[in-house]
Amino acid sequence: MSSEVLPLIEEGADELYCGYLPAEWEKKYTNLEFERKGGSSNFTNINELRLAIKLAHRKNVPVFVALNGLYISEQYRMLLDIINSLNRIGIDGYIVADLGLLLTLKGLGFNKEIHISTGGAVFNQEAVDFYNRLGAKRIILDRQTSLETIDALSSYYPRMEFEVFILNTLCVYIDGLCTFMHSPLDMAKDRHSMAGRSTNVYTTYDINAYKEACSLKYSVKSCDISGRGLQQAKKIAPVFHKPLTDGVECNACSLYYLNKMNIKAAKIVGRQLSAQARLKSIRFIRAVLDILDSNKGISKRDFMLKTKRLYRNSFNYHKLCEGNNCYHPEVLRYGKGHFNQQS
Amino acid sequence: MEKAILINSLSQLRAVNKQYRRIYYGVEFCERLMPTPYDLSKVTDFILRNNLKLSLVTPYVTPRGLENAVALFDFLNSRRLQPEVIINDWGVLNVLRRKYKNLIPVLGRLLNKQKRGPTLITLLKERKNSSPVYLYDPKRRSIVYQNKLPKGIEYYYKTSNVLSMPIIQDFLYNLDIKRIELDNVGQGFLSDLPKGKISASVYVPFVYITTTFYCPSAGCEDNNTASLKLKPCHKECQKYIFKLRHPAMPKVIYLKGNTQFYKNRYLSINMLKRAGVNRVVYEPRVPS
Repeated sequence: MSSEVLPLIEEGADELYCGYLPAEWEKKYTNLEFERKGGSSNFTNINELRLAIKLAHRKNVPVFVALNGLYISEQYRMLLDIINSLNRIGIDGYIVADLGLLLTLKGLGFNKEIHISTGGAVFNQEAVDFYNRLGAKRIILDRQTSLETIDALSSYYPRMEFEVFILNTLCVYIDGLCTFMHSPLDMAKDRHSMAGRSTNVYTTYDINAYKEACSLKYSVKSCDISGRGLQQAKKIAPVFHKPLTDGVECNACSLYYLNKMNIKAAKIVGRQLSAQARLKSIRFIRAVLDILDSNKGISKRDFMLKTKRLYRNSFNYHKLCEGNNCYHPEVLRYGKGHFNQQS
Repeated sequence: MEKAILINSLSQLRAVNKQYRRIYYGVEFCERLMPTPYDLSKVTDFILRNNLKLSLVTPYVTPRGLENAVALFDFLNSRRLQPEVIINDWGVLNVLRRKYKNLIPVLGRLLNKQKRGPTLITLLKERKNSSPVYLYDPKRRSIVYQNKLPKGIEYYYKTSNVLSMPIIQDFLYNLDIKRIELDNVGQGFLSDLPKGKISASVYVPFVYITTTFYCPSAGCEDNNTASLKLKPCHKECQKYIFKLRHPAMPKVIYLKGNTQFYKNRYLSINMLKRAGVNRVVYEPRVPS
């Protein structure tokens, strides 16, 4: 909503990004794949978005729109109409995952910033070069990208802007390579009354996938490599990480290292959150950055103690921070100044 | 129709018999399992001895994995071999086109952007079903109704950007990519690849779904539930696979190492013809 723009900026946002899904697209193609994950379009009205951009620009804050779905040829007429209307209202750039859209924008002599979404799946310097040649100004790295790789890429390519995710919504599969379908729950306008009690009514396109395939509690049969069931007494079972998370998913402790790298932006994932949750998130990350800014030589131990305390207070997390909700729990055990990976 | 076999390790060479004219060798999903130049030399010797053709399979890679891929390309150059290289990372394609123009790039299945979530299979069937589908949750006092997908959406879920967009196909063709690898997805697939310019292969029976750096198989012998996501890799994927079942999933999911698959043995010859498929790649084991 445009009413969120000024509070977000006042709390410390230097850039804003959003989703935009016009009704005509939703009617024809659903809300499922327009921006990678359904339900992420926090704007559906172009005039509302125009106002948001105007307010942000008054504060010199750019606004980027996520167009990071994957599109097929028959969708392009409508897609280009949408892009033209967004260009007219002064959008600063697009977050893109689709090679076809990237090539199309390049062919059209598009002059806005192009950021490569995590959907672009960039894990090495040659992939950065690949997208650089196609006109990308910024690469958004997947949450799972190790600090070692982030450091390597941002050092190899000082001219390219890099962005990392810092808070909320940990995908345990690689965003740009995952093909599970996600279908959000939409609250229906009407409510049912069952047995005299009010009942919430939701709609979704996939009654199974709204539970998120990546978080389902599967029954597991462990087998040897040829597929025969194991008979041994010792339990052999995979460790699924998503069901182990129990709070706001977070990468804030990595800022100790990221702050020293050539990283342009730390992104708070927020399109599908409430306005209140977005504000809370940005307040937390700004406070973490303030710790680093006001204590230049702070030790990693002291930084983490303060960050963990902030996290627990900000999100009412009553347990110890032990890595359950970390994008990079290995940061908790890192030695000074190096990013030693698993053996 | 050319028949090929995908092998991930030297021990699988035993599965190669006379019906196959091409060997796919390498890994798609984990750079830790990439073959060494020595391993590759064993396979190239086998291929030359048996008058076969080679497609070297490469995964998505970090800078470390990219070094390993480059070592394999250097080896192929030193032997003056000109096999196909299956690309699953745009960075690998970038280095291949810049430095190894004699190697033939093929677009791997991680880059073709087919939609593969197994629930799509039932979802597209239910679109034709007239009775409403809903779920009642008494604990939360909620009802979830399943909307029907709009008419015409099937095409979206059966094709992909690469399979439908001439601008991508021209771009790939100009990079000497004349073959695209496909999964035999359960909902069926459709393609508009330019006939005579770009052809396709299809993998059978395992259909890729998703992959991760947070390997769920690492540490599977440890009997603990600690949440440290990056556990030391002891190549547990070479010892175990896991079959995952859930009522919400219409297919059994096969988890091997860091990657999930489902099985689809059914192949429609008409669908293959229409999609320009002229090669079937058989996966004797759940791939790595």
